[in-house]
Amino acid sequence: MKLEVKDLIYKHQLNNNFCLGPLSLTGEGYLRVLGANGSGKTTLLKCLAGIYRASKGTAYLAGKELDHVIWVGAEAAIYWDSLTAKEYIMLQAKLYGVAKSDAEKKLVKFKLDYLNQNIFSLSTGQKKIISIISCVISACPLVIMDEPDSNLDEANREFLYDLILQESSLRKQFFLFSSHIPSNHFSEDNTKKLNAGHLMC
Amino acid sequence: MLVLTFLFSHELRLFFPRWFSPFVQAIIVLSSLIFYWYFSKSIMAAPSFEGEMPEGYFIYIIVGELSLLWPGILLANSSRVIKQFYYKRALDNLLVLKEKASGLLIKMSLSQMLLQSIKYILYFAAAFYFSQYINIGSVTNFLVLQLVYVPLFLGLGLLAGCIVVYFGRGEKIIQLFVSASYVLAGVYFPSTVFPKFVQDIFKYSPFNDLIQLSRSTLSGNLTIVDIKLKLCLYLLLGLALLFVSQKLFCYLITKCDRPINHRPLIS
Repeated sequence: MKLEVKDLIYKHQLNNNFCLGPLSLTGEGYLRVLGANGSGKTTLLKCLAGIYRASKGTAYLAGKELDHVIWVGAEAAIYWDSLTAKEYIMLQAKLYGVAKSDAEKKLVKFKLDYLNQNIFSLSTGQKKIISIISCVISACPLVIMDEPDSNLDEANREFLYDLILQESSLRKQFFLFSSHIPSNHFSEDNTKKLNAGHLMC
Repeated sequence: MLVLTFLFSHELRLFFPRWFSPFVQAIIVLSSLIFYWYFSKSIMAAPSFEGEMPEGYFIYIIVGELSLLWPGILLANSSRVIKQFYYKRALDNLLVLKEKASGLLIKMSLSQMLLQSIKYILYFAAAFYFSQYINIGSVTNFLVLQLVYVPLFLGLGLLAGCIVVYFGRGEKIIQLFVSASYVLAGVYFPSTVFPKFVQDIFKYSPFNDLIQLSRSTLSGNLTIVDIKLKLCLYLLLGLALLFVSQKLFCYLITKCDRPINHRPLIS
């Protein structure tokens, strides 16, 4: 599954000195975006998620315009924190059109021991894991994650990276994510580095 | 002293974010004063209530609150939920849902409506106990009437949600509007205490219409059959408004560069 972004431009209305783009990039299966603070990683992700309105540019996934997107923010904030983790995952799956039985089958393989705990009682890292798993189970074509590995311990980070590589190889979902943490898991071809709103060669 | 200056500047900017904010605050305070004035006037005019309240002020209030319980929830819920999404820093998760977001808000409003129906049960229990006019037949008519108005108020609620999604504020004004509508529709006292021009403006409000029909059906003076054409019209209008508000909401989420993206969201 290929993501193509062409000539994306976004001018930040609050910070007039910052302009993202023009930016063109492509990726197969997954794309990892690196960069220092303020380089435009979150802005790029939000433009592609549709949260920000880019003033110019196009983006295609598998040759089609970006339509269905699921988002995991840096804070892994969950609105329905009175639900249990399992209920939240089922809700997300239903919102994206996945049947309950299919979602439950997929959930079994993750073997989480805090599925029946209320989300408000979970740590930030655990909430992030729940959010990421809900993205995978939702079967949404484009999964955008803003620093998904930032609150995770080493074991969960390994779990996340393996999950991204495994699910992207199935060619049903594309994973676009930003990161600060160096890792040898991902290929150079699928890693892009931003600096002041532009891609570094 | 410097810390106090910084804190005061911060609070001042939050309280008056735009140049017209002091005027809006003045209007809000003036509205409250006007409400208190007319409320006290209505209490003084209590003996003249007899024409509108055959069974006393208690039943009058209960029927009034029951009539506008669901509309008030439906009108205010979408904007309240959007604000909560923001405060929980989860608004982006709602925005990426795109077309599905409006459907989600509608379902959440309906869930809230069902939840608040516990109040219905208690209020109806009190009404049955204290009233001679309210019976199963009139309650059935009343519930059908309420259901007919649900799409209309759902549509209005989603429109209110559009305001909060686009501007990043407005939830408190919407709540104030709902509270004012309760008063102006005659929930707590007859709207005849207000000046004629106010009555003329608000007689076209769906709140006023609904509460008058509700009082008539619960007292047994009117049945659904008597007003079936009017109800069909309101149902069609409600469905049309719901459709339009859903489309507008989707447009604001998917096509519009919203100021909410670029300014801190404050109450």
